[in-house]
Amino acid sequence: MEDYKFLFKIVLVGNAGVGKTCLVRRFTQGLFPPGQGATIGVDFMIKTVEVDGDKIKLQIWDTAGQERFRSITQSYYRSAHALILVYDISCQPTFDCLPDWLREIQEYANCKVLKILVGNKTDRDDREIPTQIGEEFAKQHDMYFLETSAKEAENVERLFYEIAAELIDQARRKDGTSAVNKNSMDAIGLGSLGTKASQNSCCSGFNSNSNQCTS
Amino acid sequence: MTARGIEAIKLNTQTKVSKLSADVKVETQQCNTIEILNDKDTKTTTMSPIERYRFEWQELLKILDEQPGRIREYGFEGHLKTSKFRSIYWSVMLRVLNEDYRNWKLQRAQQRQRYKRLKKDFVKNPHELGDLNTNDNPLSQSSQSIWNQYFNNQELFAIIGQDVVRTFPGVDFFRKSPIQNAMCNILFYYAREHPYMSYRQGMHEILAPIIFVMYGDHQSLLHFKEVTDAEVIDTILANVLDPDYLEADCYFIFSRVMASIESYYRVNNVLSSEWNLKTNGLMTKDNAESTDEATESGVIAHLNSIRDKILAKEDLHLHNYLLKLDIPLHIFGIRWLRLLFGREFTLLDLLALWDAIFADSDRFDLPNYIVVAMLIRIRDKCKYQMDIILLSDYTTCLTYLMRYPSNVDVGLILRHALHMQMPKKYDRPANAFVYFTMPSRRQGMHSAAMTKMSGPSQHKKGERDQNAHSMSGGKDTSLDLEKEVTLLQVRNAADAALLARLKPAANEESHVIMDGYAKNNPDLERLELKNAQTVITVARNKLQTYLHTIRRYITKPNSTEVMNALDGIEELCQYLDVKFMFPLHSCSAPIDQALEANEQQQREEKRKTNKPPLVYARCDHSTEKANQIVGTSAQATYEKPDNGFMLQSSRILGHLKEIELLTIASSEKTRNPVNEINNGLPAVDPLTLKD
Repeated sequence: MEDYKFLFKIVLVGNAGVGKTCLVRRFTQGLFPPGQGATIGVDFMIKTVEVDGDKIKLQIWDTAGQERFRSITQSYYRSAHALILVYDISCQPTFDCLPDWLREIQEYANCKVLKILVGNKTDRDDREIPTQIGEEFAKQHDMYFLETSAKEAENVERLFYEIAAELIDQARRKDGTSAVNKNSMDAIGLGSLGTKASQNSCCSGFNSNSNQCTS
Repeated sequence: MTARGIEAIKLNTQTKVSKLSADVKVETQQCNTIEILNDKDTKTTTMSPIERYRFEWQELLKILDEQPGRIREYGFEGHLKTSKFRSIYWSVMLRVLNEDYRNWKLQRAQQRQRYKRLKKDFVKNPHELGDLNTNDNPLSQSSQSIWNQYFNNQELFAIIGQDVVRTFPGVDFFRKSPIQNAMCNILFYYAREHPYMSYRQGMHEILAPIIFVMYGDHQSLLHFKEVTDAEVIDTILANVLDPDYLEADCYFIFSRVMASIESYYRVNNVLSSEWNLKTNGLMTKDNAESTDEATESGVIAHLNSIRDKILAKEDLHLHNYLLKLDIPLHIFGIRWLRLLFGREFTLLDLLALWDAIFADSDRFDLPNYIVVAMLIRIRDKCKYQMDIILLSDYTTCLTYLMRYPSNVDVGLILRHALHMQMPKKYDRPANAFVYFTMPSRRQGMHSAAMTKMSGPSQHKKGERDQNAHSMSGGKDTSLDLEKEVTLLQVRNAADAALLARLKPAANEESHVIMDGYAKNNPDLERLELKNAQTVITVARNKLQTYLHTIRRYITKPNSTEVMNALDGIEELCQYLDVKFMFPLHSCSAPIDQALEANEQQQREEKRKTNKPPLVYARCDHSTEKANQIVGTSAQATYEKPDNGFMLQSSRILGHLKEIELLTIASSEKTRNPVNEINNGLPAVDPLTLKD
């Protein structure tokens, strides 16, 4: 067995063409392919990161934009630790669909799952959704918020590292001790994230103590 | 992932599609997968490209006249790889065109007319229509509203366009706007003509190879036209491959392919399951009963039935292992099926695979077997280093499945799939993994029967002939055995399925999260152990079968080396006949002392005589008579030891559920002893003989 302290499942959802696969490839392979074929069904990538000296394995499930939970991937949402909901800041319809996605999440995902709203493609100069609108939407729905660019590698590392840090934090808080191991992972996902997010004045803020994202 | 397909196309498109005809050599080099170029083909290699083109066309017509069924054989056997008329072969195989080529012009004319009508029916621009219904306006939500429809169309076009522009990214052919426009149109009309399907991601990659092939054929014809007199060109050919109708002609091939695979795309739960049941006949009542599976989409049920019906039969170990790791086939299988393996192989390999799929039948059964052959292939590929799938963990296993290795021989996969589907017609490829299937019947040898033939006495020629005789005469035996094996396979599959069903239930309580599978789960480990034991048993049986076959043909080994090698194999067989210890029993379920049948008796016997039985006496040179004596005396004293583990294994699931697990080994005792070959000694555990 590989040596890692935590394993987290992260699932990406959002409309087709918002850049889910590109975010994942940028993070796991450091690539931004000029063209990326549509994801069919679901894709799967793995990356091990280090946070506070602990090895964390991230299992990233990248879903097809056209796929709805019911059809295929339901079981993956159920066991997900974090859900990244992605829209394209240069495409209003992808933002308009967010309530639909949230409804699906509510129905099929663990209610305590860590939810992150991501506005992708900040490199585009034809922005249609102002940052503030995204932030407010996230705040309303108890989600973290971040704007990224897979193309420019902006905030991509940060996104995943902060998710990892937050999940570790949840796990430790739940456990009441820092000696959390793989066996007590059932603790994760039950943290009191909801209240925490709404107290947070800045929606885009993850835990301030997790600055590992620069590595 | 897409890169492979892309690179393959790049190879092809670098030298402009219009010059395809000059690239035969390149293509044949790349397509070293399926051999066979028959006489006609070798004849063609001496021709100029132009002569070859004309010859190929005439051949096609001739075959259609004389024995149209041959066309399908061509598809199966890889003859279409260098064909300049692949789109026509496909059209005929898919029944887009008749086998009677004299009707082609008419058929094409009708189809093109119909396509033109689709255009007219589905694209109505309210800006250009003067006589709109007075109730109709741009804000209307009525389904009858032309305005409403107009906006819906715009939306649909945008969705399709989004995928089409990223079809095989990096391949120039698909970056051309005429090609992209044609693809968008085809997908749009398809979606409108089949509103229950609409457009779903992946369809564009079914269309892409079709348009690629059709375009290539058109270019070949144009090239041919350039260098020959216009009069020489067959009017049928000119009509059927008219570049002006690329879109329309592709549309009908595409629609036909989609008709066969639409269940993979449908998400409508109940409907598609039923449809699946009807079309594929693969679903069972068991499947339909389970509420879980009733609500899932057709493609998942379909993949599950592939797993339980084909994979379990072909490679039970792999089947169980995937269950154990909790990797359902649909994680990767949905993409495999929806794209008909488009991202798993290079384009040239893919086209060869499609040749066979289209040649098979309208129901597209072959892909089911291809899925299984692909799975078995990558477990087999590294057999000599390490079983990639079987021995690796969840992550590695899944990574391989999600990114199918690129160096897999598609020809072998195809032949294995064809063998599974039509065992009588196609032999199992020699180096394909053989796990749990019996050797084909005509070999007359059956592994399980061979377990008894451990006696070195087989060296005696007379004895051997007698064996051979009794084997070939014992067809009933072999049939029984096959039945038995099937029964066992089914049981094992049922056990595995039950385990799989139990597992999530057990996990749900204690783990919100799990890493694919619960490590150290004793039930699963037992299952795995059981599989290992099955492997050992089967390996031993197979070894013995092969040994016997070799001995039959080498009647007089001319060197001691061969003799020694054969003896060595035999010795291995003896080693493999191990008594399975089952250490895990001590962990949970209380276990009675596991005595083998007759074990007590044997021990006492041994203690009394205090000498090893004559099994290991080198009776190679002893007389037949002596062998018989030994044989009969041993037969009287011993019975085949039953497997201790197998008898105790009904408790395998501890408190969860009692499941009776059987393997071949445990079933041997149930076989009618009359059928056993009393040529030597029964298989005896070498370990017990030592004391």
